[in-house]
Amino acid sequence: MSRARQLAGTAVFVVAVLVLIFAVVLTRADASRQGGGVASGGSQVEKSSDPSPMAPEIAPTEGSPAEVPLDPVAPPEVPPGPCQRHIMTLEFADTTVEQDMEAASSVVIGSIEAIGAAQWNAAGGRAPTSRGEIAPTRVMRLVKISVEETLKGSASESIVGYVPGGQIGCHEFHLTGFPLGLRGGERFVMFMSNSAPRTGLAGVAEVWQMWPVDGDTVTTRDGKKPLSEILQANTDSLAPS
Amino acid sequence: MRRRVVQLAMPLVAVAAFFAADRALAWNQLFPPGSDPNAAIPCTTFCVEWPKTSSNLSINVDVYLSSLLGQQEVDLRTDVRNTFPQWNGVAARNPHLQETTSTDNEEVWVTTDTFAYNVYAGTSHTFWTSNPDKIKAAQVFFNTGIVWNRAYDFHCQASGGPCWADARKVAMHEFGHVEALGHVPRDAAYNAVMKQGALTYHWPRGDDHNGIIAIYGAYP
Repeated sequence: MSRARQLAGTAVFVVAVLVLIFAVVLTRADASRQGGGVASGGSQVEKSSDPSPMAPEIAPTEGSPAEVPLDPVAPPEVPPGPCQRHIMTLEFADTTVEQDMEAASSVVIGSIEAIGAAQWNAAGGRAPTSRGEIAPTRVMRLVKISVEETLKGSASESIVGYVPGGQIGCHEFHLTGFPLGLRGGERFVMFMSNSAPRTGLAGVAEVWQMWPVDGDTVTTRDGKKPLSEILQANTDSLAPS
Repeated sequence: MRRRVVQLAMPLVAVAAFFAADRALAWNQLFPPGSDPNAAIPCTTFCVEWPKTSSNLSINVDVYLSSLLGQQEVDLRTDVRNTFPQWNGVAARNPHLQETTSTDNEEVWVTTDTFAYNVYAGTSHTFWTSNPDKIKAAQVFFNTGIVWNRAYDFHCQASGGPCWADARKVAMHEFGHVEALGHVPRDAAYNAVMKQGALTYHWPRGDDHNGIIAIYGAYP
């Protein structure tokens, strides 16, 4: 009798272990189906040693980019004093589309699926303490991008990027080339890098250049161009020199 | 005979008028809010500027230079300091730039930051929304990714690698923005350091002077 009880106990233990293993395999397969994170030029964004208290870190290999929360976990600290508007003008070098393609770790044509509230792009997600750092480059919004076509890199169907600027409280931060009023459904050619934001948030790509797409026309820094020209530039940049 | 002279003169008058009109637009004031601040467009509806004293004279603007500026290929503090006499020397009631070592009362903060490879620098203006056409403060950021030089070397590697830029021109241009000048188109009709990109000079030119005078008024 005690022998039979021992055997039954062992069987229950083995079944329990098998169920556990099966559950783990199912979970991983599900995560894999949803995409393994921001794929930018084949490399992954590494975890920072300074994790942000404002937004939890999500390693690209452990979940879908869609799981990265777009809004900050806690409302960002609003600078004291009267409402301000910060507008930054950038000076650009004369570069070709081919050079921009080369410089990017990934380039996609995609549309904005969702936009998070603005948050500080500063260490720990905290508001900068120095007046010299309260600038449009220290504010960011996380955006979920539905990828229509990957021109460079190996982006998944849906990725999360961060773009500079936004509104914190009654303070506006506007940077050349990055619309304050981003709207869902708007299409862009987006040039991205693997650089993580200063908050240390992993699994998001830096969008360092975004050109609006309207039908088959792209508005670049040099004016409007046919989308086919951008696609051709991509081909040229990949061609062996 | 007189009619013939008038007929011949008319095209000449038209050409002269065309160029006169062009000259009137040879500078731009900083920008209508809501539009792209980088656009080289005339500001006609809502233009921004620094305030003046109650006596309608220049205000003093204190400029703080971060020590980070000294850590580039050239010491960018030298190039920034060299902009002060140039902009202060315009015969106008524009803000008078002066260096401060204090961060308690500075109006302009100059430092470095990391931008995309194709950005030389950025200038940010701060406005109180209750007084939206008056500049309250400014910041100038030089990109640490640029190879800074003083040889008018403006180029970028074909591989998407770093870009080179002349620190003197970029500093003078950025402080033109600080003073409230906007970009002008990059064609030969414009004689201005407020053109973007490569130039073979690095000081304010005739159109820059005219812009500052038009914005702030001539002085003396």
